[in-house]
Amino acid sequence: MAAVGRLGSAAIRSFLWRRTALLSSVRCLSKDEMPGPYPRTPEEWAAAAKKYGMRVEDYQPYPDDGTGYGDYPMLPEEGAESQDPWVDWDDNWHRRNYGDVPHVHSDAYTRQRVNPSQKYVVPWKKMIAALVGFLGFNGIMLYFGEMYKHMVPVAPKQYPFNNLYLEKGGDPDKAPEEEIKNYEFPKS
Amino acid sequence: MGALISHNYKAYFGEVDYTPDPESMPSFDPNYGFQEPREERVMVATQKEMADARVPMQLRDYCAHKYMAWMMCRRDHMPNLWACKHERHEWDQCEYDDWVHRMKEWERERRLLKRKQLKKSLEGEEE
Amino acid sequence: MLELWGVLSLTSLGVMVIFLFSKIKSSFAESVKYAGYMNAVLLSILLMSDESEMLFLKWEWVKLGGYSLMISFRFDLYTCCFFVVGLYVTWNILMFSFYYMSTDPRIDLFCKYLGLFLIAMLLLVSAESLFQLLIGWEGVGIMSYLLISWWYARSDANTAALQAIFYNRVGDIGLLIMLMWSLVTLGDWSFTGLYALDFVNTFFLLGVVLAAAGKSAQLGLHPWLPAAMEGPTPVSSLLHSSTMVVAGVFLLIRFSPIILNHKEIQLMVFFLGTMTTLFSAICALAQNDMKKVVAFSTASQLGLMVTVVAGAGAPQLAFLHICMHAFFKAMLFMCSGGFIHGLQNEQDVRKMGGLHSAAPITSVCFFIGSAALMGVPFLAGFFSKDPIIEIININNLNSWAVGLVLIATSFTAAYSVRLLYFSVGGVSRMLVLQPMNEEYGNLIGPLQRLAYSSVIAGVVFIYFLSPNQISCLSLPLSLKLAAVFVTLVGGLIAWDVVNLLHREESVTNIPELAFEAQVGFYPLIMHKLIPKVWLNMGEMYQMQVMDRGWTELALPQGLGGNYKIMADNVVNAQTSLIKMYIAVMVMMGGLILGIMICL
Repeated sequence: MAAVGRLGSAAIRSFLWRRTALLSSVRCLSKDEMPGPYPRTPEEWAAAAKKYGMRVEDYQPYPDDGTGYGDYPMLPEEGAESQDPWVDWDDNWHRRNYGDVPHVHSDAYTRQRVNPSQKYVVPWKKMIAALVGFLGFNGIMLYFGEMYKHMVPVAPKQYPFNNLYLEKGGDPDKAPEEEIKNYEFPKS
Repeated sequence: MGALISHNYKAYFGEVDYTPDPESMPSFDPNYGFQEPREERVMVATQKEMADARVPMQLRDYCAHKYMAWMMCRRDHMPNLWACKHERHEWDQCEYDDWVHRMKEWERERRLLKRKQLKKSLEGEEE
Repeated sequence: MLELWGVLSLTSLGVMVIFLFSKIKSSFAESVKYAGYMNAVLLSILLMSDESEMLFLKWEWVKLGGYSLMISFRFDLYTCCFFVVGLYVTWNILMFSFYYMSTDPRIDLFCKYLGLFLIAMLLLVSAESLFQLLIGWEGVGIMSYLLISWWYARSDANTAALQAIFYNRVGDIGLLIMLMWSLVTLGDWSFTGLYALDFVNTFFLLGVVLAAAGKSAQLGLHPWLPAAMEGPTPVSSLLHSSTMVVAGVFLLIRFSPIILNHKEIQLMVFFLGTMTTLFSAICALAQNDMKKVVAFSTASQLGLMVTVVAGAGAPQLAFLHICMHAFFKAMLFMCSGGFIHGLQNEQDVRKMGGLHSAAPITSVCFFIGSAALMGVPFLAGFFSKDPIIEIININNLNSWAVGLVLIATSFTAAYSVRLLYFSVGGVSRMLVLQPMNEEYGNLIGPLQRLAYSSVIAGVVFIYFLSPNQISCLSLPLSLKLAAVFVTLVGGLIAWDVVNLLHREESVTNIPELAFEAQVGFYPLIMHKLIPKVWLNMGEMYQMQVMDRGWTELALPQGLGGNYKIMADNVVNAQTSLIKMYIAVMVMMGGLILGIMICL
């Protein structure tokens, strides 16, 4: 799928507008506000970093596999919910300052929506380990339990009429192979 | 519960060799080891009777006639079900005997398997 | 004669429906009560007769080719018992909601919602065809949604309601699978037809299992049940303990003859039930929210019912447990509702304690309900739970599953004792000057009625139900006492642990408790992992590749650009020079000529 995306992206770049895939949702933006093409040379890299107000060491665009966002920087996924509420933000509701580069999905990471950087009491990996461990342990033990069944020291229940051959939906025209007979124990 | 746990232990660790398999239970000839042939278990109710009385499938066993008697008594004395405690007891006793019969079958199978085991080991020693 | 009684029963229900539209809310409660009495009479008439089931109405609604959709009501033992239990419990809960919701401005609407739910539930249990079952099923689902989000201004309640309806939709897929498969393959939706055909189909049965798991909150689809506790307490009491959540088990009971013919599905349902009963019991152990403990114990008991339907193959016992469970669990919820209301909406058990002096009658009812839930001998729960444990013990079943059921049973006692210790017993830890008062007729009355029924219902039902399977008559004493024994052990352990953990000098925060307190991390992980996976896939393939890739290139967004390029070329060619046109003409003619020669 990435290959298809890359093909489409390359096609767009080569013979359409020479722009990256970031098109439709920002159609209203002017050309200067659009992210530029993926930076190839170190100079372009530095220029892109400067454009977004970042240091070159911090700047890292999305990989250019056809589904990237041009030179837009790949920022850490932080929801507004987990930002410090006591900081004097320029925008207190969205908890961001003027000139901050927003995450490319920042519309999904507002305070009413999802928070990808949620802090849990128990670490995430530990939680998964606990749940998978619980279910997996029980699953394995149920498998072994199926091998070693709970054994009650009685014979299977005996039923008359060939073990209820007809009642259990047997074919009346075709008699069962051998007739099952049950015997009493002698009275002592 | 303790009895069952110890039995389970025996079935899988202590006496693995001669614990019967409930899936293929009567593996010996029914008359093997008896002085005279055993009598066949008597089924009193017929298939048609049971079908007419709509006896549940699990209860169409050798006590079905007593179950049917109980149910008929219930129907006749419906609001006063204490009137049927005699029939209820009869059926319960029959089911109890059936359970004991199942236990006996199990024990017979177990002892025969043990005996077979013993015989085999004796033959091995003679050789 | 029998038909007459059936018609009377349906008429009483019809009158109940009419009273649903009355302006006076208590008259609806009265009508529910009298409908309950009428149906109790019907039940005894049915038991007296020789019939095991009756079909009413038999009205042909739609006729499509060879298929005809019949509307009829199936009145068998299960339906009649459930009618009586459901109407009795609903009547009490309606009276209780007059107390609990008395300050709510829309209490009339609330009672109408409860009534609509009741009608949907009765449709569900008396359904004769899968289609009617679907109507009742979706009816209870939507009423559950509306009632959980009753306090719609609270975002928690909204979230819980959405969770409930989403998880229920997953289960409904199973029901739709059943409907479609049976219509396409068998051309019949009626239960009579499905029973008579005696088919065994994995696809259909997986639908049954999925539907039951969704509605009855089995492991995997369970998080909505504890979340649904955000709704008002009468809702939790009616929908999420006694009636709606058992609809899944009821479906399994209806289809148990088919399930028991399929070994793999039977095993699957058995494992699902045992794992649910253990998981929910573990989660209930460390909850501090009073209603959540009761909710998890409900889920645990539902797991026990599912276990016994499939594992031991005794659907009648499961049904008995449904009836018993309805009485005492509805009462437990009402008691906790009374406590919560008296303590000004305080649900945290750590802030309760010593309520036996503040609210003695509620406390006694709470104790009776917990004892019945634990299976203390000769209360209602004992008569269903003890045979369940016994029948699981005397069958050659999966040994680990048997152990899990026993552990879960002991946990039942553990969390019940813990809850009792925290709320009713001990020293009072509530805020001072709480106007704790239980002198309301609409609180005490329903509680007492349900308490009496929790005591005697077991005897009555055992007395009237004719057994469908062999009762265990010759157990060794130790095995006979197994259920009581594990209950006792669980209770003692709970007592010990509570004393250990909640003294002043003790360590109260044990990290190992996080698994129990955070309900096994299941909702946290699943509610994050699955949406995240789908979100990433959506971003990758739908947004970047399709919307911003190929749509830009060739599809609507790209068409404009492509046409613009072509149009630009055409415009560029329009130079008004005759030589240019002639050149183009010659070129085209040469091309056509060349093609013709080549061909």
